[in-house]
Amino acid sequence: MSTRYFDAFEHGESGVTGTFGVTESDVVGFAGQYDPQPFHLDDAAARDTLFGRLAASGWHTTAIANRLLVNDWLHDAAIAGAEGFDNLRWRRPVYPGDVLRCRYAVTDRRSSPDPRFGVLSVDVGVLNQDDVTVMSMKWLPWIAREPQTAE
Amino acid sequence: MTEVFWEDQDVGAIREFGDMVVDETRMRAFAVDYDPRPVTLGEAAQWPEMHDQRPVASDLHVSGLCMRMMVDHILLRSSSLGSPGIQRLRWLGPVFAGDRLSVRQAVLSKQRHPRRGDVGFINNRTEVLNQHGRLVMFMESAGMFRLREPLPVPEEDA
Repeated sequence: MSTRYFDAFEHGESGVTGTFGVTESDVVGFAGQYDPQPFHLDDAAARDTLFGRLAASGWHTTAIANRLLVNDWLHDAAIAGAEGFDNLRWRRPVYPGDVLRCRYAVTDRRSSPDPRFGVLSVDVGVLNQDDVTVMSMKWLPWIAREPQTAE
Repeated sequence: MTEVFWEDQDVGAIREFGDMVVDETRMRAFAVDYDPRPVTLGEAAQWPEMHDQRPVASDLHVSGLCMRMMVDHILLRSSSLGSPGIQRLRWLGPVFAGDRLSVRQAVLSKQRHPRRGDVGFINNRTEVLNQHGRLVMFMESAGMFRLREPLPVPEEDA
């Protein structure tokens, strides 16, 4: 399998990833380590909150989106992490039992101060099983440029 | 017990907190689940990497540790209702196993919820620093907090 370097990505490239089923043990396990607020750990504690019942940490949804993008879309790409993201919105709660997938579209590609890499701007929407957008962001992954073979 | 409400967070206030050592096992487990790339999994680089040689933490693992420090320090004793999102986040890394991370957070602005008299927003700039004082991540994000004393709903467009 040949590696996709920065030059292989074009403005307008788009698609949809596979799916990720969110389980209750995933939700509670992630929250226990990274976001142990009661509404991410316990159904009863979530009842009187804006979530209404046990809901995933927004960081968990973000991590799931990262997994889907890295594993499904960029599995053969020379991805070197991300510069960051802009305008991340957690639009709807994510609940145990939800099945998530990502829709992505490259809206820009630019050079970086480090000539070994370029940066993509990617509009990402995370959808649930009802096609409701639960999260959106502009994601900025670094992709390595093909190394010049030294003679 | 809830001690910190929306009213208690003053614009301009700066808080410094957290002391978290990056654990190699947890860092690797996170990478397997959510960010499986050679450099986060501890495998040999297959293309130029940002920080050659040593395995690094997933960017999102660093964000998760930042969140954990925020939860432990303030959110669990606050009237936090969660967050609508993040305006801007940048990872400036690298973060390695064994690094010690801490947080510096400034309240940039705050406003009432347009339709709910008992809810307000706090906008923070949050920075994550390593043991050398180097900035490894920053973000500008919003948190929703319940008010200690609900106020009348703000006027619609005057």
